[in-house]
This record gives sequence, C-alpha cells and structure tokens, in this order.
Amino acid sequence: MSKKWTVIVRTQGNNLELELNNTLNSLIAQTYENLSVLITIHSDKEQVIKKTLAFLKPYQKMIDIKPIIVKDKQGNRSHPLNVALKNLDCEYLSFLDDDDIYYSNMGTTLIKALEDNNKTFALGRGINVKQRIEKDITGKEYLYTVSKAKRPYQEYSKPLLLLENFIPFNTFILKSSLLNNVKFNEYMEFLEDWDFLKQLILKEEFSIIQLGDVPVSEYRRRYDNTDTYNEDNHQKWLESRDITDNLLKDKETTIKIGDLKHIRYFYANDFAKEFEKQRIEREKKYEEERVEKEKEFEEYRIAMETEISRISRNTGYRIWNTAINNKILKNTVVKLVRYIRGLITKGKSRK
Amino acid sequence: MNKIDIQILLYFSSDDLMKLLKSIQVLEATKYQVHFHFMDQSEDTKEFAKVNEMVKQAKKEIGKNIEITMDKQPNYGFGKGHNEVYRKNKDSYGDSFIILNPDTIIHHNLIDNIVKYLEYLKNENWGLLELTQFPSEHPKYFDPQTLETNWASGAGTVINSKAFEKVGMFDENIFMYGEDVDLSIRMRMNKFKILHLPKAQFTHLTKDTDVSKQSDFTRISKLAAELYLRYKYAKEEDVEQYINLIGENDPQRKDILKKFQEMKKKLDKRTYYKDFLNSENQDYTNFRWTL
Repeated sequence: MSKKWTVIVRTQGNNLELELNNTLNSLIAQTYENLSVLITIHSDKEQVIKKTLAFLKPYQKMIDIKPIIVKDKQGNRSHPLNVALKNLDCEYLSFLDDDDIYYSNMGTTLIKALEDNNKTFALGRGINVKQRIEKDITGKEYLYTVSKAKRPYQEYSKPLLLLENFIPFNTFILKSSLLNNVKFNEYMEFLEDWDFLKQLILKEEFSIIQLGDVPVSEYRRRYDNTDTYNEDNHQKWLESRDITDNLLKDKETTIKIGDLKHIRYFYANDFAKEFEKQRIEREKKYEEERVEKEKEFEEYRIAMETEISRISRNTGYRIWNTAINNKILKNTVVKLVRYIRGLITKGKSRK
Repeated sequence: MNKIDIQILLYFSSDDLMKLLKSIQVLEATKYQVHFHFMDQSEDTKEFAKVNEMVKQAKKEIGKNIEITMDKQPNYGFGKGHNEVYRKNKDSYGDSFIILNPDTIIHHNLIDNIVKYLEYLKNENWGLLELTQFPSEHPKYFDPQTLETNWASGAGTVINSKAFEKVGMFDENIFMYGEDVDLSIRMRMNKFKILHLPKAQFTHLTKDTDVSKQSDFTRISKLAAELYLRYKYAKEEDVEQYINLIGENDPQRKDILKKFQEMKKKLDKRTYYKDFLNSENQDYTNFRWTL
C-alpha cells in the first residue's frame, strides 16, 4: 500500500459548479492510489455550509473527502489552512485552491520522485491558464479557456525563494515531517503561501527534487476582479509583501554562494520580464486613471469659474461684495447688523 | 423513458477500467436509461476474462437506470470496431449514441448534462456533439457562443444515428487515429452541425498529449492518416507537400508511406472537399494553445 497523500483544499463555498467541480474532478482523476482530501469550508453562513456539504456528496462516493467547517472569519485565507494542518495524518502533503486543478499525474510523479531520490520536497511545473465566463447555447455559464502556457522555468534556489515568490502553491508536494509546527501567517491577506515556504526553509533545509519539464497543475485566472490577486487589491498585496519581509528580516540563515546565480538568472529571464511588463501595465493604467481624474477636475473647475463669473455680474452681489471688501462700509454694515440684533434682543427681554 | 447507448472499445484496458466502472456506479441518470456496451478487442482469453470479471463485479452496484453488457470481437481497430458494435445493437438504440474511450472517468452529472443539450437541440440538424475532455482540455478551437467546431474528437462524442448512417459511418480503411476528423468532414459536407458541449465533461486519462513521448505506432498511424485524408479530400500536390514535410531522413518515413499506401489502395473514391485545407472553414489544426 502506498503512503498516504493528503491534499488540503480551501473553499468559501463560492462558484461550486463552475470551479470547485473541476478541482474535485481533478483529484478524482489522480492516478496515485492512497489519496485523502481535507476540504475547509470557510464561511459563517449556515446556508453556504449546507449547500457546499450537499455539493460534495457525489464526489465523496469516488474518493476520500473530509470536510472541515471553519465558521469564524478571523485570520483571512490562512486561518482554514491552519485548522486543516491540525487535522493532518499523512506522509505527504500538498495544497490546492478551489479555482485551480491538478493534472492526473501530480501525485504519482512527484511522490515517486520524492521516494526514488529520498527527498522531502518535490516541485513540478505549473501551467498558467487564462479563462473567461461564457454562456453556452442553453444559457448556462461555463469557463471558456482562452489560452494556456507553461510558467517560465525557474531553477529552485533558497536565496531566491527568500527574495521572490516563484513557487506556485499548487505545484509541489512535501513530506509532512517538514512542517515542524510551522503555520500560515493569519495577518496576511496575500502571499501567505510564500511566507509559509520561507518559514519552512528557515527551519529546515529542503531536500528538493525539481521536475522542471513535468506539468502538474493549472493556475487558472480570469484577469478580472474575481482573481485572488487583481488590480484593485494591489496595495494590500504590497502590504502583505512588507509583512513577510519584515517578519523575517532579522532571521539568519546559511546560503550557498552557488545559489546566488539563480537570482541573477531570475531577474534576467522571463519571470523578471513578465513582472516588469505587469508593473508597466499597472502604472500605465494608474496614469490613465490619474489623467482621467485630472480631466474631470479641470472640467469641474471651469464649470465653477463660469458659475462664479455669472454670479459676479449680478448687481445685488456686486453691491454686497463691494460692501464686504470696503473697510468703512464693512464696519458700517457690521454696526448696523449689531444694532438691529440689539433691538431684537431688547424687544424679547421686555416680553 | 428515453435511452442512451454508450459504446466503449477495450484493448488491454484492464488497468484503466477500475475507475471508469466506479464512476458508472455513481453516475446520475435521472431522465434517461443508460446502456454501456463494452467490447473487448484484445483477442486475448485471459484479458477478456479479467475485464469480464471486473464488469460483472461492477454490475452488482449500479443504479436502477443503468445497464452494462460485455462482449468480444476481433481487433478491428477504432472505426470498424465502433461500426460493428453499432451494427449489432442499433435496433435497440435511440436517436443517438455515444462513443467513449476506456481510459476515462465519467463525471457524475455527465448524462444529465448531455440530456439538457439533446433536449435543447432536438430540432437542430446536428451530426456530432463533442464532449469536453478534462483535465487536459483539447486545445481545438470552438465558437464560445454557438459552440460550433470543425471536428469532434473520438475520445468522447455523441453521434446522431441517422446522420452517422447517411454519411457512411466510420471509414474502415483507417485502423486508428484520424477517423474522427474523417467522420467530421463527411458530417460537414452533408451539412450536419458539429458542436462542442462545454458543460458535458469527462476525465480522459490521456498519456499521449506530450508529442515527444508518442510511441512509434502512434506517430506512424497519425502521419499516415494525415496523408490519407489529404489524398481523400485534397489535391495530389497537398499529399506531395505533406510527404516533403515528413522529410527524406525521417527514420519512420518508410513505415508511414507503407501504411498510407495500404489505406490508399482500399479507398474506392476520392472526394474533393474545398474546405478541407481552407483555414477559414476547415482548419482542423486551429488550436487555442500549444504547450
């Protein structure tokens, strides 16, 4: 009997038919025999929990799926992962989000690589997938795959992992003995997976086997606001990056000089170019928004000036304005106002 | 109650069969009766006994609307194999039937999803409805709204029985690979629509998506079929052009040409189809991605 492999899937009960359906079918398709799935349902709504549990039923007839209900909303997306980690009883462990999928060779290939080479961490190649929602002839929504592309190959390097998030969450399997009580940071809204790997590597060196040519999973994105990371939450993403950088800034570790070359390679190759392209696109978008806002402001300013100009041509306003701007007249007006107010006050006290 | 028949050809498929049979056991078929016709073509007594026993065990726990039968026949290859199963059983079939590979897992809602499409399309002149392969989705292009596509993969397709007979069923000159493209061309020539069904998914545990890992048999068969289809539907110069593409130094050139000549000899009639190599209407290599 092969050793037990557990996959932790986290869901909030959204898009069950459209996305979680695929995630679960990709687990059913695994050719590795001894697989169990821990699925965390992170929601405080009874209706969502009930619906998700009912949805899981047919899939549970095919493979071992244990739902874990996480009702409290604390700790962002990290919290359910930590709850699942407490429930572990397996030799091998991996993670999968409810909008991504594994290829059917994921477990068999990576676990064989771990066992044949006596390693603790096996890394495969991810596929970036671009999808969009379409409606078919019956009016039902489905995910249309626009394109797929292999992620640029990046050789594993410890110093690079400490600097950059280049290992997708769904491309590796690790031995659960590596965990060493490491938990996901519940203060981070993004990049908790990268922070987790950094914590692990600082506790104990990975003994890694990398299968750079073997596609094992798909990272599916729609490039709209349904993605975990999108343009709207870029600022929060940067904040998460600061959190993980700051938390680990005083830690010390040993690195091999030879590994440093991968950093040079990373910044020179497609990864860096892709990140740079995204940065330029982002900045272009911000610039366009800024120009648009400035244009709107300018139009508002011109409209206000026109209005002021129109009012200033009014005779009553001109008399009032002259009075206000002339010191003698202003004093006279003020005295007059005080006199009238005094008369009114006296009148009231007599009553 | 309507009925839908599913033809599955086996050829030393016992390793793949367990998951498929398990998925049949949990299959939801609320509106249709589903009949699985397994046909073993291994010509091996032990293998047949093995798959027969597996099916026998599976039958003990299937749903009330599901039926499974198991039989054997000589190794006719893919197209002729399916034609034979169809000929034997067609009198009991409904308006359409499904061909499915054995290295598959049926998703629990597949039949119900197919039925929704069938009901929607009952007045349409369709010939083939291609099911969606998962997790390695076929990269072939289809129109995201009308769902029209140029050809349907034989790994999993619903076939309109009347259309199938009208166009002359599968070309029995092709042993394996390319017969699905050929059937699709004849469907299109006869104005039958070919549609892709995105909500009707099945898992295909395919091992041959990586071209670099193709066996010699697969490569020779695929390239010979490419030549044959050009000979059948295009011009002499298109065949020559493709032979030149294979190259003088290709180690399998001799075998590819030999196989092509064998198929060519059996063909009664060439039918020029102007759209076959026309990229606008019939480009069967119009893929959305290549990995």
